[in-house]
Amino acid sequence: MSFFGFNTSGGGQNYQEALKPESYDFQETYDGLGDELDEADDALNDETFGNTEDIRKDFNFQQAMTSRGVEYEDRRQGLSYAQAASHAATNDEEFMQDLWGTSNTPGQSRPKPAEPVVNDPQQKKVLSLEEIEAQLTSIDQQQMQSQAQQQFVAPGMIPSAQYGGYVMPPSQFLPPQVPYGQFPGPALSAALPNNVQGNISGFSGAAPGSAPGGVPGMFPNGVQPPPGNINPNTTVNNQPVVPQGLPQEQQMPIQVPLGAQKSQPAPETLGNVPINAQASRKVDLSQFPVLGSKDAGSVQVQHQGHQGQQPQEQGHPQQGYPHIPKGHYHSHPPHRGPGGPQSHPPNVELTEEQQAKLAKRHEKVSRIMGCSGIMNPKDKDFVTRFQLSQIVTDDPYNEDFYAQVFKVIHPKANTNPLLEHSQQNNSIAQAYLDQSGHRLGGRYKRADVALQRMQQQVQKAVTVAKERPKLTQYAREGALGKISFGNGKKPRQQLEIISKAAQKELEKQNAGNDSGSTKDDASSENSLKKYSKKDIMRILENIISNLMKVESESRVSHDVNTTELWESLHVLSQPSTSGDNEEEVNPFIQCLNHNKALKILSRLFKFLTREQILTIVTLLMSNLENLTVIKYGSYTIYEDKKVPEHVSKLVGAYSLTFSKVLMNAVQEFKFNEIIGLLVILIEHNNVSFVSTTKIGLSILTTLLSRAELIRGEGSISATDLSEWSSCYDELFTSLESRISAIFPPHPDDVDDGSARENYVWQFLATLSLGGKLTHQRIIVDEVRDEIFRVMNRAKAIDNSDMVNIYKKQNLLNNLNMYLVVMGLVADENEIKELQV
Amino acid sequence: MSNTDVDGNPQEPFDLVRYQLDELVLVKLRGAREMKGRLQGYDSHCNMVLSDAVEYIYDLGEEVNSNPTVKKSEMVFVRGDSVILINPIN
Repeated sequence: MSFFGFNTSGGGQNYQEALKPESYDFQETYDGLGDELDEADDALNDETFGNTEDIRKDFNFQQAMTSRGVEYEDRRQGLSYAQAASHAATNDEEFMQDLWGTSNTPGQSRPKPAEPVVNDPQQKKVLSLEEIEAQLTSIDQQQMQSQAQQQFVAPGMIPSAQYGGYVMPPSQFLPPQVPYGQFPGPALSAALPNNVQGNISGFSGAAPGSAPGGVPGMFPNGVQPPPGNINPNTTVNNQPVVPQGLPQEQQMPIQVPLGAQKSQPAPETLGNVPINAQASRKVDLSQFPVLGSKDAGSVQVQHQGHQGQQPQEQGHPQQGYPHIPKGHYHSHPPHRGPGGPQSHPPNVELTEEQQAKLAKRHEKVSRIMGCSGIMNPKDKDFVTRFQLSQIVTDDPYNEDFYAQVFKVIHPKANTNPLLEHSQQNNSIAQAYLDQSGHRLGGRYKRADVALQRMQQQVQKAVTVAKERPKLTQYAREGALGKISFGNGKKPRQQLEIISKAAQKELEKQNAGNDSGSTKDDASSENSLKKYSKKDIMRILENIISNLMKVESESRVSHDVNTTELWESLHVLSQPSTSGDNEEEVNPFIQCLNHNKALKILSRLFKFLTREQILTIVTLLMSNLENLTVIKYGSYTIYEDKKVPEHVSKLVGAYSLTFSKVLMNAVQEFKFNEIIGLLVILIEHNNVSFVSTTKIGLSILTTLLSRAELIRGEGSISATDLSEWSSCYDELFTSLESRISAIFPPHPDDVDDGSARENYVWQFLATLSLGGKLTHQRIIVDEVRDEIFRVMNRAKAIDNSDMVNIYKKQNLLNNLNMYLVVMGLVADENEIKELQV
Repeated sequence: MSNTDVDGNPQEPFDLVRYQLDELVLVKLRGAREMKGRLQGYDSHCNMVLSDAVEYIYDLGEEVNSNPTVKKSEMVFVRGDSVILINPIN
């Protein structure tokens, strides 16, 4: 559209009318032309547009938004997403009831409140001070007038008049919308085809629609014409057409009351309604198909609360400010949030404190509203779906491990078992609402509706997420690298570049598996392979990743293939016995020298069969002295008779992990297997050396005590028993005369009394338990000094030393664990026979 | 150095870092700093989390032999963009 050559000096009026819809564009495009305008007739421009003077190219949308905030907020508040989405019957019914209730109730005939009271922030903005005054003064007049017709006209007329000239027609048309806000766009479009008639009808439909909301306002103070009064022909007739698309519930209430009690505007006036109006309304609806749920809640409240007030407000617009549709006001109760800043005529009833509160709230609301309306619901949908698709996963255990575990540990009481099937989606949606504090959500009563909607979103998101190409599908696509796809755990990288070497290796492998196998043969011919530290670390990391793979599979199915895991352990890849060259020791044993191997042991053993575990333990028994904790864990090899810190740390880790795993494993072993293990241990290791280490001793204890337990059950064959006694003898022989060496020279390091257990005494107890009387005597002989030492240490702790007295008790208890086996008991002074 | 590990899996550069998980590493950083600690985790940007970490800040400009400032921290996140090299400590 070209305005060049247009005589700007002459037809200011026309010019403006023509341009108003794009006034901002105009200002930007034709800078300066506006200055010449004759604005004599534009007295109300400021009210309409706000102050447009400072709109320049660096237009601040935020500010503009505040002035336009009215319209946006109207939409938002008047329209509920949730409602539109779900047509939740309850809400609508309630809503309509409210509406109709107000229209029918005495509220209409109630005397008006002295002043229009509660109004929302937006209204405040819209109305200038003069306006407010005018309204106030006009109230009286209006009351006198009781012109239903005029009132009705106003909503209709305004759109037509305004549309051309006003920048924000949508807001102006909101009144009609509100009631309709609940219909999705299509409803209206259905009405559209009816052409003018349709338009009229649409409009008339709108008017009645607004009526429910605004009725009280429209007929202030019982001024309202008697029901059925002026039942307008055209409109009434047309009405059925309009509601076509409307949900039934809504339609009914609207129609009936209208026909019955509403006075209709004269047909002519209705006819004036421009098609634009219809169109504009339609636009609005499509843009804001949904009611702000939170507002919806307040709407009802408002309606009831402010019934009386609305009428007044309504009246004014007509009189002094026709361009402000009254429908606008009254049909948008949502505006007036209960707490909404009531800036309207200063409210007499409010205390200062309240006012301050309201002002504060108002300020907050306007700040929030500043940027509101920038995104339309579709945008929001998109963003929401996008966010949701990030948190939705097919594989929650791997992507969101800790959250899942947390959920298991803290199961939420399932309050609604009926929803079982949709539980997953439900919980995601619920969590999302809780989390985001979404305005549709939680704290307000519409949570259920919002939830429903969120569920739909989640479902969509899940589909989207499922359709997302999997990583493998697109491997190595494109010249620069492969396209990668993110997920919650691993956000998307633009490019994922594999090293050339790795890629080549991969291809080589795919090309010929044969060559690979020959290589393996070659390496196995070397009989004893040396493993560098890096090899071990690699094996270890492979074990861990295989383990994690198996773990995640096991969550899906119970039948998990663990062969790969077993192979990655390399338990059988190289035999070795204690004392072998460090680098040639079986890689699994070498792995056990690393802390991280210990950490996964218990998880690992869960997936191994009994045979596999037995194999591992057997390997261990023959390799005890290859373990760092044994090899470097004995005080005897150190000059200061102290185990260095890094080893003792590892020893600590062993007792927390390895020892427990071993103990569990041994529970499953049969008697002869334990004998076999002990024999292997004795054959391949220097038992007296092993016994000077904590771990070695506890391994012995574990095996011995298990054997004792089985023996105690008494179901052991004679051959097994004789094997056992010969095994025990062998063990005892290798220990004999060195038993006292199992006590570390710095007893305080091992047991200062703070521990409730002492592995040394435990071992001795177990050993004594398995032995005959002669064995026990030998043991007592050898450890007599230690027994007295412990008693002396216990005695040294003064009974009045309350802090340490528990140590004394622990020391004696530990000692007695051993002594009790032989029917003895010790206190700090003497050893007595155990009194049974 | 072969590009295939004992299990026949292809090796990638980051595997060198992966093998050091839960092990002591020395990380050389920009700004004349070094960091020793137990590698708890890393990512493709070489962001790392080190436990029981000791940071050595070398004073440039002063005499060459001046002792570095030492800072200890129980757990520290090292942003990858300052990492120069990662070296295992035995």
